Amino acid sequence: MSALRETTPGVGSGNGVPVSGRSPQPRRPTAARPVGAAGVQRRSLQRDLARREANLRINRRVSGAAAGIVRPPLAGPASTAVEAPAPQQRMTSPRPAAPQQHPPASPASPGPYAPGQRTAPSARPAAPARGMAPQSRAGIGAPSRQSQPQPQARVAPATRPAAPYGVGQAAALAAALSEPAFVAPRPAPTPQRPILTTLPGGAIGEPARKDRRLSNPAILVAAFVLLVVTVGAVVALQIGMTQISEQRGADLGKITTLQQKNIALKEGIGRLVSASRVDDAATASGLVEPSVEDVRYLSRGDRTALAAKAARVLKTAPVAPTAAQAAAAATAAAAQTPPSTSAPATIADSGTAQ
Amino acid sequence: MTQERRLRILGLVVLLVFGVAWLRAAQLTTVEAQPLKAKLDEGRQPVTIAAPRGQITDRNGIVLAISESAADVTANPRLIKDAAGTAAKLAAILELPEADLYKKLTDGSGYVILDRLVSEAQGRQVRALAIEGVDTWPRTRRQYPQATVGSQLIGFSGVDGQGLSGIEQSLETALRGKDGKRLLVRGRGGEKVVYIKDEKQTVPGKSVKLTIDARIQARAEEELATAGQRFGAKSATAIVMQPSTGKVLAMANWPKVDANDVESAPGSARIVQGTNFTYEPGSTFKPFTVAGALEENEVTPVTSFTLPPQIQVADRVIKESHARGTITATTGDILSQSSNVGTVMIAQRLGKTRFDQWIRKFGFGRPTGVELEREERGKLLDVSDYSGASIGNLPIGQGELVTPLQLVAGYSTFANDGIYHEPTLVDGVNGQTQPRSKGQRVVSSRTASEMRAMLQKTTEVGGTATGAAIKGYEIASKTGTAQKVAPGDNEYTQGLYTGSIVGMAPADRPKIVVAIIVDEPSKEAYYGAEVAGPAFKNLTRWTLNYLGVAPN
Repeated sequence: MSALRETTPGVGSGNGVPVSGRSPQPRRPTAARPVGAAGVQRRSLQRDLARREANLRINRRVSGAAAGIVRPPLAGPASTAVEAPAPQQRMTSPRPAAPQQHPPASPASPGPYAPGQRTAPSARPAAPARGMAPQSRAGIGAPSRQSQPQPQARVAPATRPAAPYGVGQAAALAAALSEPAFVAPRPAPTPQRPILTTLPGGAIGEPARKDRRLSNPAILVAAFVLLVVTVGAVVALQIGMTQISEQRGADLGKITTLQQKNIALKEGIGRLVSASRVDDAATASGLVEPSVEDVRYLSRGDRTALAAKAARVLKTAPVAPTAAQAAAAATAAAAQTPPSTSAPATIADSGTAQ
Repeated sequence: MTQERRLRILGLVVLLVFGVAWLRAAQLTTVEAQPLKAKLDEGRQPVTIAAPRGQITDRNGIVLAISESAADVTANPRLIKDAAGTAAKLAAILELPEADLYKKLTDGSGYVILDRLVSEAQGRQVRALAIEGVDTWPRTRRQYPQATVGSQLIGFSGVDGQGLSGIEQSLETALRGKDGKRLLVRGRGGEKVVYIKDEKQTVPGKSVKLTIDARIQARAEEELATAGQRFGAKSATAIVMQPSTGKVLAMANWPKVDANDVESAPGSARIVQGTNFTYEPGSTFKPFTVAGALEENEVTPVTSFTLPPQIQVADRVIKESHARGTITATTGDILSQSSNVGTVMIAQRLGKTRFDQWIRKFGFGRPTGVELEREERGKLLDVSDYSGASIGNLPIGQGELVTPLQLVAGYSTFANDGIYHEPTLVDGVNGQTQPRSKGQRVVSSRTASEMRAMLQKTTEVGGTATGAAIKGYEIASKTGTAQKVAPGDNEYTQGLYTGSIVGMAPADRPKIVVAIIVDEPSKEAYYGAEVAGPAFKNLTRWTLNYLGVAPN
């Protein structure tokens, strides 16, 4: 903010020269201004003057005139360069401007700023009026500036005399501006060194550039889209979680149902393989279980002979009941008629097999 | 716009947003807190997940007991607005008399149980009615698909799911799971679940695999039923055991009990008689007397004895079951003919102290350690409590009490070359096989072999168990007929007997040991060979066929 104020002409100070009546602030580096063409310089001055005139009017209308305070005249078209303007005649303060202190010009000892690169920090502005600036930079206890030697203008005298502070000041300034502009030779302006900022990740950026990015509509739109997408993703995530919970609830119900069916199936299998049920079903179907005495084991031997023997036995075995007989047997079983267990053996041998 | 101004605006925006959010949060937590909480509680549904009880299977994986989801239906009569209508609706679902339900719904109390352990489908129908004041509570219902098969052995569980008897009780820790808790949060309308949190994990019970073979068990129960009905017995017991491992393949009771309808059976029929029925073993106890004498080298199988018709022991006269004159018999003859006099003479050689030591070595007088609760330990007199006549009646199986399983385990020692294995009913829990002990040697292999040889003679001509002989197999067995004392009597009651038979097959390398005990037969016969012999024969032969044991 302060940097912007300093670099904006006509706001608070003109070309780095403090407005009379305000506490002079240590000047910070000003933005470089190219001074090559006279027309450019002239337009700049015209803008400054117009703004100053407007400010002065406002000040005078608001307080100055009513209080009887006479403001010091504006400093001339101050140069913020090395060359300080000559002391100007002030209406209420005939004292000359405070001597300028120049930075060391020796290239061997450039100090914090090399000559020609930046002069503003060391360029002392014109001293304000004593009564108007009690808290001046010099302070109350500072030695009187009247006793100090007057600095000499090394390059050029003031191009414009200090006009009496009044209504005709603007006209005088305009007249002065209408003359061929005399621009004191200045050292070639050097572009202001940008204020570098180390960004996270090591990138080096420039605040002003970042500001421009922030004001870039495309970036704003992109940021807005990103925000919307993020919020949308969070909402979608919540919806998804809810759906998953709902699905899980349904799955748990299915699991429970399937487990119950599984248990029912196991129970059903257990009933089906029950020995008593199998025996009853076999009896109902007309099958008979041989007596344990009639069960024989065939010994190892001629398989053909054993097979023929088994076939003979099977021929004498009772014929399987018909469907009607089976139904009758089932009915009988249902009536709890004790089944016969003395049926002949299904397989018997001649006794040689043991 | 300057940077400072932008920052200020941004700060204001942030403050504004956070301020609004804070105000809204304050409003929600103070002004609207109660309505929101009430609304939230409406959707919250804590659910108790009943842990299913572990299933019980036989050694082949046939399910003997399994749990299924069920529900208890309860009501708060004070909240019931239309008792008659509610009773009508519930009666149709629960298949209960409407009047009974109406009576419960109008009793004025705050809590009534309308029906217990209804099926899950019925519970779902009740919930679908959404009657205010009627609730269902998740439970599990025990089902026994085999119904009567092994019902007493497997046991029963109560309405709260805890085991009350049999395996259900003894393995309660393994079978019983831990109920879980789940929080369901339902959305608007209460239909969809929008949030689920398992607050407590449900731990199902462990499955138990028994050594029981359902087929053999069923066959044993059939044989018992036949014998019990034929001889009018009070009860009957059968045990089939694998002597090499101690695994019990069948432990059956008669009368049968339907495990799905226990309440209809008398209390005496519900006990596991294999471990809870104590009786005087009679002659089936004689082999242990003889085995002790063999081990002490007091006799050999061929040691000859001159047996008088009766023998005086202290104040008691011991006679044979069938009167005879004086005979000469070897130890083997004494055993095969089940001579009381000869057994007492052998026991007198052994002496009361060594006799007591030997019968205790076979496991009598203490629980076998099988996985059943409240197993009877039998009753053996201390030597110091022996009377003068004790050595006259104890060696022949009168005066001590044993359980059928103790007897079978003792015979298994003979069948397993003298090594005693504790009987076991559990093959594995949750798929992990139970560790087995190597057994404990009681008698030498030679003595065990001599015992099998002598017991084999009982089925031969002149033996007491000829009716138990099985064609193609050599059977080593011993019959027993013991007198009983009726409750309140001090002397043996006339006509009250326990007929039994214990045997092993094949005799040279036994695969199974089978015992049949018929208690108080009242018809046709009472001797062990007659009342228990046929059942023993049929069951042994059938089991040998079933197990694929080839004839000798």
